[in-house]
Amino acid sequence: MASGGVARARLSEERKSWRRSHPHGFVAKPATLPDGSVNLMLWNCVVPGKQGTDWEGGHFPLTLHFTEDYPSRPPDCKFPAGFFHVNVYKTGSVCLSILGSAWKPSITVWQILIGIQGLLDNPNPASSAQNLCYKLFIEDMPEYKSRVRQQAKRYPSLM
Amino acid sequence: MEDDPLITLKVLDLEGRRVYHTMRMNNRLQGLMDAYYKKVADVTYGSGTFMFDGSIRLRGTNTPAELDLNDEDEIEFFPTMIGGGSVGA
Repeated sequence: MASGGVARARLSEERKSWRRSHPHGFVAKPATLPDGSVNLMLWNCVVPGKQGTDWEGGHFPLTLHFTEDYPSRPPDCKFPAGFFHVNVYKTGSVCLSILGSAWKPSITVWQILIGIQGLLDNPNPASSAQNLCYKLFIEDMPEYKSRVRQQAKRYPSLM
Repeated sequence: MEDDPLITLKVLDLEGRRVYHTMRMNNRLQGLMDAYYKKVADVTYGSGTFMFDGSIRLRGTNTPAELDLNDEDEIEFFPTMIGGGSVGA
């Protein structure tokens, strides 16, 4: 069985439905190679910070790395390395239940991006992925919040 | 005349409203923009930006064919942000 065909077919279908309808302010599109062809296995996305939170105003770049095992296995979702969030590793990889043990093949790119947007302002300190951010979150909330707001300013709108 | 198919595009705004507009692939997108502003009375004409895929900015003189837009694609409307004006330090 050509399992890779399954991943590509599903991703191509997801892209098609994303073009037709998606949450406002979010971006999700397969990368374009230098020769102009499309790499369905790597998606460049943007997750906007929720209004009314310290993340508001930020348009955070996120890449989704799919394997040929998709959708049996979730994509690796990465913010830029060094991204300031309790549940994001130094490499930028997002640690989120639905991208791990709670993954189901029926979860869509749309749901992943909405889930990650929700995670921004709802970090889980019980499962920290980076020390400094965790320490500030626990011990120095004003400084933590200030850093979150500074980070949001570093990723302004694309317009 | 060459074959110029009809497509339906939609505009989605921050309030979650969707405005549908059917046009030809080689017609100007100004028609789509006008349709949006006409439908949503509380948005001032010309007060925002129409974007596709977060990176393609629609201009009234562009056509769907030029921008590689397909039938049923969703365009986003963003109100123009103006620096300054907020109260407080």
